Amino acid sequence: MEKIDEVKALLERYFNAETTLQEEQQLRDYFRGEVKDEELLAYKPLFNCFSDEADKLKDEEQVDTSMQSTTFKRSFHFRWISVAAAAALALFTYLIMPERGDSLKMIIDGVNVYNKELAMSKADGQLSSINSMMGKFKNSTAQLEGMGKVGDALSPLRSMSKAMTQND
Amino acid sequence: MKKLLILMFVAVIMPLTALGQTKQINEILDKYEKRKGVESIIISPSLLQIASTTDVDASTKDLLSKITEMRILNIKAGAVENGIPIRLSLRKELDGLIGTDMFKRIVMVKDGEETLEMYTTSTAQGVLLFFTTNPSEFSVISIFGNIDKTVVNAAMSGAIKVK
Repeated sequence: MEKIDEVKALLERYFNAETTLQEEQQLRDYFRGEVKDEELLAYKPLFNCFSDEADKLKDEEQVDTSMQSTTFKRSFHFRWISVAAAAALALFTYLIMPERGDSLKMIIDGVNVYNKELAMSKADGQLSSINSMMGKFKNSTAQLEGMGKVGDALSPLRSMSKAMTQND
Repeated sequence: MKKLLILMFVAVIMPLTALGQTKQINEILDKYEKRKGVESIIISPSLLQIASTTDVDASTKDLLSKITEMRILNIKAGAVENGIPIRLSLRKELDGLIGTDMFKRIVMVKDGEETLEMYTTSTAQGVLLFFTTNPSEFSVISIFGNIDKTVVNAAMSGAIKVK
């Protein structure tokens, strides 16, 4: 009974804006519990509304924190997948096309020979041989082209011969 | 996320398939380069030059930038391993590769006892192969890189030379 009177006194001071923060907290704590007095029951939604809002805000903050954590986890995973993919690509490229550092490398009978002039001379010999054969191929195609031109030049004669045969 | 993973997968796999033919040729050449009676030379494009000819319609710099490497393998006629001439084993392996759809023969020239064959990959990013056969040796000359029409024309014009 004393408690109810105390609460009523506090309420009066509350509506007169005379309560301290501590006293307001006492009121909220009281109305959060079971209120039996009918007169005081009318004020319950007012104080519970504040506490409910505060609870909701707390819940939202928690959801925000967990969402941020999920987003962070996702971006963290994505970053590592990207790094792993780039590393795999670099590794495959290295395995398939190992850097052949040397601009010139020669092996004779299984032995590395470090003689640039000899290597260049041998390579030159090979390319000259190819170029010489290609030269012969070009000559042959030129001859074929020449034959084609002779054929074109003879075509009027063929037409004449055809016309004369028809006249006979 | 799925699309991203597929893109990543394609980004990793595509270069591998494009490099497949180059890799196969390199593997065959690597296999034979250290054998007795075999000479191997690997040259970077910086040591090559393109002679200017009327048939070549691209600048020397452009053509050389398309070539990444040149490999030459000479097998002497007398080089034998386990009773089988090395030139025959190598030729058999190369025939297995050039016989596929991935390669096409561009030209074959026969002059007396000497034969020259020229092959290229169906895709631009690949290899230009020359086989020269004569009684004393069998040679494989491979030019790797972006083998487009201009590079093939330069090779057919006899314009690719060593500096």
